[in-house]
Amino acid sequence: MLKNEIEEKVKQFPTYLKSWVKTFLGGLTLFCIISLIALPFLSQNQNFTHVFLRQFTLAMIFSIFAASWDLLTGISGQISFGHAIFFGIAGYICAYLISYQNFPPWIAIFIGAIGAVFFGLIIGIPCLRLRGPYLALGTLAFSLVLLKLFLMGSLSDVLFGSEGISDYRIQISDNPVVEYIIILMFMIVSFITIIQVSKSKFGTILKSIRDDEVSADASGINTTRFKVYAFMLSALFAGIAGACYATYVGAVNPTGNFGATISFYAILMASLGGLTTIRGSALGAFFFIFLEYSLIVAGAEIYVNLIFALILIVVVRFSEHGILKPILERIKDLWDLLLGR
Amino acid sequence: MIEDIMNMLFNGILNGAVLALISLGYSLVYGVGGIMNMAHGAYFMLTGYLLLWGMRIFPGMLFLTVIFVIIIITIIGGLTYILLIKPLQDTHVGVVLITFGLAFLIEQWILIVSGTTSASINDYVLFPGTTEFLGYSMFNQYIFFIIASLVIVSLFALFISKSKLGKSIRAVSQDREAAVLMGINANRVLLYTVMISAFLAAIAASLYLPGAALTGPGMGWTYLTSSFAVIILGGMGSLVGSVVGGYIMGFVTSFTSIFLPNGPSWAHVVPLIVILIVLIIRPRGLFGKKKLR
Amino acid sequence: MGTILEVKNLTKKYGGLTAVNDFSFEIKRGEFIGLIGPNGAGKTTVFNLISGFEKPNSGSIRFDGMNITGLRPYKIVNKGIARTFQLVRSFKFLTLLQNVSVACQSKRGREASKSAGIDAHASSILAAVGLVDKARIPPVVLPHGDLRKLQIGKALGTNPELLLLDEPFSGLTHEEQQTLTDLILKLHDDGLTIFMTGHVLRELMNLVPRVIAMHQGKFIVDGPPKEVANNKIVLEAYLGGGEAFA
Ligand SMILES: Nc1ncnc2c1ncn2[C@@H]1O[C@H](COP(=O)(O)OP(=O)(O)OP(=O)(O)O)[C@@H](O)[C@H]1O
Ligand SMILES: [Mg+2]
Repeated sequence: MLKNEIEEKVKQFPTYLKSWVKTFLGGLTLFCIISLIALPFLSQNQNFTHVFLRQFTLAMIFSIFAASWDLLTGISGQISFGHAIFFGIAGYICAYLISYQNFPPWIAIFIGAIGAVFFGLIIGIPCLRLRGPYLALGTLAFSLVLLKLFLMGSLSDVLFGSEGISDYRIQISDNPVVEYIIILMFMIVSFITIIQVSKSKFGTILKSIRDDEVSADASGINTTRFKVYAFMLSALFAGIAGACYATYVGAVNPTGNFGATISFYAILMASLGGLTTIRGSALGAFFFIFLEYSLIVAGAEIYVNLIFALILIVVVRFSEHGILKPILERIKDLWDLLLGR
Repeated sequence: MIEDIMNMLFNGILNGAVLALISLGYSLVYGVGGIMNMAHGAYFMLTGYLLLWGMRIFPGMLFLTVIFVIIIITIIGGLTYILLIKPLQDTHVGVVLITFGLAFLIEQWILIVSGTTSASINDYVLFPGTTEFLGYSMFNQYIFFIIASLVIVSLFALFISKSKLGKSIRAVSQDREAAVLMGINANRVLLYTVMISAFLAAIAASLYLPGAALTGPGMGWTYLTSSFAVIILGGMGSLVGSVVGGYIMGFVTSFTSIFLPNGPSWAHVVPLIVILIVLIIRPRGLFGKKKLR
Repeated sequence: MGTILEVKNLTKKYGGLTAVNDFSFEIKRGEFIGLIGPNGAGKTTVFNLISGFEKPNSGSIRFDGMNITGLRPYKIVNKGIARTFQLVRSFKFLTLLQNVSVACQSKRGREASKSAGIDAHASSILAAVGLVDKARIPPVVLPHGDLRKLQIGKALGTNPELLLLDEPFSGLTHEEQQTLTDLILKLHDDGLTIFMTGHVLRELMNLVPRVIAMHQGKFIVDGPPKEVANNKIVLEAYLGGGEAFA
């Protein structure tokens, strides 16, 4: 079934692409992609490439992470407050392989993401017994276990203790432009996959479980299996993001990669953009990273999380759909006006 | 060895007393309104810091400060319900997200004011000194706290079964729609429930923390997950379960931290491991009747 | 015609309450049969037990000769039993077409939609239940009658042999009841075995040739509606307000 669906998609791709670009959302997305591709060639300035461009790279990494959270929570309805698990595990595996086993970064990122999928499986299974808010706390508890295990002094021989792993070789490339381009590719591929998954028949099943699990059961769907798939798939992309993040920073440590704050960032970015929109995650992530950057530049670094917590509260309280939908609607009005529709 | 055993027993009861108080309110709120208040641990943590600051501002007025702080936290609980939970009640995700945001906000605020380092509030105990028992010396404050916790739990049980509000709380938790038909204002009952839960957390914190320490603003999460573990163990929404579960968890943690190698660091992981085991073996907990939903 | 469903000595307890008590009956393939009983008699519980949403304390359920007692719901659907719910349930953020297409992706649903494709099959089901012109809208905006039809559409998506309808008429206007009756009769004519509950006997009277009555979890009588309606215990059970014929 899945194979047919994919084959059909591939066959119809050229026509699909043409009509897609003509739609408002398609056009806008294409515009954003082209801008992102063009961006690194705008300037050779060291400050631009090594500082400004790297903020974009970071935002793209977190876009993937937030989108993976949206896939699990927004699309499949499984509230995760422990997404840092997948992010952190992949980062650690990746860093370990590069630093201790001399793996090339490509392969390390790949294996890291696979490791995250494996954790998605182990965590998904016991968590299946939990629903809604319990799942939120269960996953939070899971991530805290891992955080504490990694912080534990007595395990530092195996898990590297609170120092983590740090090595100049943990990077995709020492040229920030190359790094940017590679992460951009990861982002584009991840987003296309996640969006297509959420639009597919498989995605419809995930959404049906989110909307009413009992009813999905009664429709003959093996909900358990699909929920585990959702966990694994989401973990895959969270893992890609986590592994990329490890190479971005060049180091991993427990709080930086496993901390509850990391999970919070995913939640914040995705909710900011609007749950279930996937694309909103990117908007949320860019907004987040650049606001953070401006606050740091302005010397108000310690207020970053406080401000974000406030924003989350305000957005959740007053705007059910996050900020993406309202913004898009405004732009669409403008677009229609320009085209005289 | 005897020393160790005494130590384990005493700490077990002590941990149990803290967890019972925190989990009781947490479980109550869930049982009555299906509300998972992620800020519950933050109330506990905030109480500790308010006490610390309060005592710096009003030295020598310990008793009043404690009462004042408890009142503030109770009000914060009420505001959480009115401003954040009530408007989002229909969406579970919404309530979880927004109370999570609140907990994070409180944590970050304290972080800004106070920094990450742990602080001692040892000077702010209501009952200084120690008492010897079978050659084991116990902190008076803790003895008082353990007794107070037992008294509060009993009063609470009495309140739930006898008082008018207690009866409304039970009615709403059993069948909200029927309760509303009977003329009970479910929203008001929920408001009181959240306030009671914050009140219990504040009492636990203001009596227990002065003997322990403020280990940093992140400690709220630890208590949140511990009480989550307790209510999973005891059974969701079961008040007996939260008390018994609290004490069991208390003993398990104190046993781990005293008798296992590297105990103290493993003790943090214990509640979480208990959650996982219970979820796998008996998902409805020890006293729970309903399945998890 | 062979037996399609055989329920033997089924018992379900909730704490001290025995919701279904040593309950036994058989349904033949192609039958159209009603299950009646006053509020709280245990009808929904019987359905929950058959469809796997609850596990019985004792007793057995055989479908088409296979023992299905205690199987998980989706497995039971895969064997060929579909059900609807007393309180309508739907996937509220999906379109009607998607609502049905989820069911078409169950094991039996996929087999049934092999030739036409899932979407086409789902829309033919929507056409059959009379909702095809609303295929692209989500269920939240539908009137109650349409939601009941959607329930049936979702059940049909799994291509069942036995359809369990829990109070399909509750909350419907007279007109809506009429269209739904026609729909159900048509499904039966097409060969589907249908087992439906109702607590008002008259709704079922003119519809089904055979009725099973239950009260307080216990089996009372099984026979043609006329006979059941004159049964002493049935009359007593309904005496509370004469709602049986209300
Ligand atoms: N999950 C449950 N937990 C406890 N008791 C239950 C549960 N489900 C049903 N019951 C009880 O079992 C009895 C039978 O209920 P059931 O819903 O099967 O009746 P019914 O015949 O479908 O009634 P109605 O006409 O109201 O739909 C009732 O007394 C009900 O309160
Ligand atoms: Mg019923």
